[in-house]
Amino acid sequence: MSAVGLDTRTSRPLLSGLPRLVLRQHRWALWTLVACVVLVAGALVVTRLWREGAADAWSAAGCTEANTRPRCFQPRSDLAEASSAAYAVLVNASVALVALPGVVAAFAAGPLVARELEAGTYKLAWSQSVTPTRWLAAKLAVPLAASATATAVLLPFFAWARLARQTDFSHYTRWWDPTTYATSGLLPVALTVMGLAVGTLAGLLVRRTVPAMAVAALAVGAVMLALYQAHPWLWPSRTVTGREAVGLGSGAAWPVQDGMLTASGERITRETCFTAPESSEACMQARGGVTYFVDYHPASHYWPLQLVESGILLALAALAVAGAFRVLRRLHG
Amino acid sequence: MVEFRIDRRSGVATYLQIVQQTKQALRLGLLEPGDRLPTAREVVQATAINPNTVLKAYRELEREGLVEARRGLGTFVRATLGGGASAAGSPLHDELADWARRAREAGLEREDMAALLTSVLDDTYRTPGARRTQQGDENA
Amino acid sequence: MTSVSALEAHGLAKRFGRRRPPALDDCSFRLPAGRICAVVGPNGAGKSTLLALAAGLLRPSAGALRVLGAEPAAVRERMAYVAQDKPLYGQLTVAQTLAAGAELNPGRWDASAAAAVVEAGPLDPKARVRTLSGGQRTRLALALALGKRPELLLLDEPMADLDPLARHQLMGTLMADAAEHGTTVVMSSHILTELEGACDYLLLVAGGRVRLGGGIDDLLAAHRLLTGPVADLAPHTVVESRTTGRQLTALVRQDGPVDAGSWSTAEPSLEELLLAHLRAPEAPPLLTPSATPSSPEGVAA
Repeated sequence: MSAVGLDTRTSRPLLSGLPRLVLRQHRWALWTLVACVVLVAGALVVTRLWREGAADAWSAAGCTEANTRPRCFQPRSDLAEASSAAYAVLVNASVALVALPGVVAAFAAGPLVARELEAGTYKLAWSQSVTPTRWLAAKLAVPLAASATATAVLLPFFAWARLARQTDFSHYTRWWDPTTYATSGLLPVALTVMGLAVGTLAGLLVRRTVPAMAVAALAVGAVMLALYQAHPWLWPSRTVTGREAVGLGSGAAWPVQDGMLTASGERITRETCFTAPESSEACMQARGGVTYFVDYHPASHYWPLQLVESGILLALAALAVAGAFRVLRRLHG
Repeated sequence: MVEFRIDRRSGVATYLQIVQQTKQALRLGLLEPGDRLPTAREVVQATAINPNTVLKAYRELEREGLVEARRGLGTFVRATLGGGASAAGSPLHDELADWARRAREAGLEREDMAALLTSVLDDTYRTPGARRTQQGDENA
Repeated sequence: MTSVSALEAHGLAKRFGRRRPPALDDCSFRLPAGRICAVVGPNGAGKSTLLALAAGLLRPSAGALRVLGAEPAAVRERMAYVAQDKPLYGQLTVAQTLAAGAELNPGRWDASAAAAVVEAGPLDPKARVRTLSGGQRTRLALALALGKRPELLLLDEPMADLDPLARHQLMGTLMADAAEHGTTVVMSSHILTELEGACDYLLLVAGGRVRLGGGIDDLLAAHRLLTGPVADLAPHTVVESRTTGRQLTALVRQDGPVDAGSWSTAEPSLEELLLAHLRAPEAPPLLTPSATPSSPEGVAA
């Protein structure tokens, strides 16, 4: 019956009523988010341009990495400095983006939901012409729009920063590096949505600001860790054996498991020989290994992997949101 | 326009206080036929009493024929009490004031005068209503 | 009896957790529309729970509560509720709070009514809510409630934080609103004197149950304070009796005429009536006809 109330009012203009109240309440959070986005995007742009400039000066001087003539000394040190700065910014920004779902979850659990329940201000909202269902919908919609937009806006900057011309002193980034993989494609947006949903549910269940924030951040951390552990196996990998297997692992292919095969085709993974006193090769051969194998994901597996992981996260988010509405209805009608 | 003063501790029902104070205003000529009584809203805003209490008092006054409710306009005074003869400046008022001055000159205290007036009123009416009249005097 | 019910409860109960005693248990009563009702009772009697159920903030554990003839959740727009702690958004200003009231009550909001309550404070529109005193918060909360132009106004301990002047003024404002619009007002308090004079209807809640319900005049008229020789008081229902020497003082519900020869009788004051019922929890509850719910299953226990 609350859903009927929700339906009859969707025609009202954007950003009036509840969404506007939610924005007004959390103005500072929004400005902080905007400031962070500008800061991260700016840092990525500035460090890339700095590095490009240094690289141009380097090549204009006709220097190479092998060239140790004195006139190359300054450009060399400039380029090395710019390159490491660009890489540091990229890595730190990636870590920040990976941490964003946890921050969003803590915000949703604490200031957004639990604080209202703890301080009793939900009673004020619900005794206006506002159903608890609509209240929660607005609480989800506004931060969802804000955080998903922020993530989506940042992604092209990350992609652009990584596309920097490869020169000497480049720090290679590969599609399957954890910081690269989690800051590209669909995954960052899905992670943020999941964080918001899990945080909201935690806020409704815990109902106290600080504990709810801790629970939400831990829950999101656990989900991300589980996903990180599982993600090589979320799409069938390919296998190469013999000579090919030896050369693999330094390009676009992402090796996820390697080892040796016995004459009968049985697998001896390298992990089983990690603790062996001899070298792992010797260990595997001792167990009958005759040829090498590598399980790997080619670059073409990027999107299937991204889609499967994002699908899992969005399904989890949908479950959490459904749970949140259910908790609300059970307690408050 | 009259302003009602509600005394919660008087023991007199609130609606009766309004009735009595209206009658008092009619006797003293503070209200005359055609005057509008304050609306229930105005009374309760000032006194914080229940609106139904005011309406009950007005119905009582209407039943006694002292006021009439005109729909959408308010409650208006229809009749006066004591024919206005007790209003300040009226001959009866002046005579009583003159009497009180002389009584005071003769050495009567306020209580003596009140007792004298009460006994005269009791003699005049000699009815079961005597007690009620006395109460009215106390309010005067 | 034919008038519309503002509230009607049938066997209403609310439990918070299995181990704790119920906050409300098997409550049945009716409040006709247009009355100004005092919900009185000791602290922890269930008054706040009753109001929160009526406001649609809580869901009953058992029984039913109809508000303005419908489920509470369906008439949210037609009623206003001010909780005991006067919750407000501390980070908003007074003006922003009223603006939020306007936005959250589209089509209903009466800005001038709300502004009048705030200006009488006077409250600075630019002041942050978190800087307001308890009395100022109450004023703002009431402004928000009255701005909604409700048909039913539910106020939980509305006067607790107010000084006597503000109390008188805000009560006057509430009564004026009721006089002008016929608003049904339900106010809870554990201090009777806050509400006496303003209310014409009473619900006495104690131990999670409704002990008395009805128009105050009707309830007072149904009881007699008797003083006289010790004797059997049948057929009257004795609420409370005390014996001092050979003299008996009793509060009874009259059933037939009282022997005026041997007894001196008086109508009790409201305070005497309430105190007697609170001191005598075993006395049977009394609902006057207007406070008795209509359908057969709702007849009070």
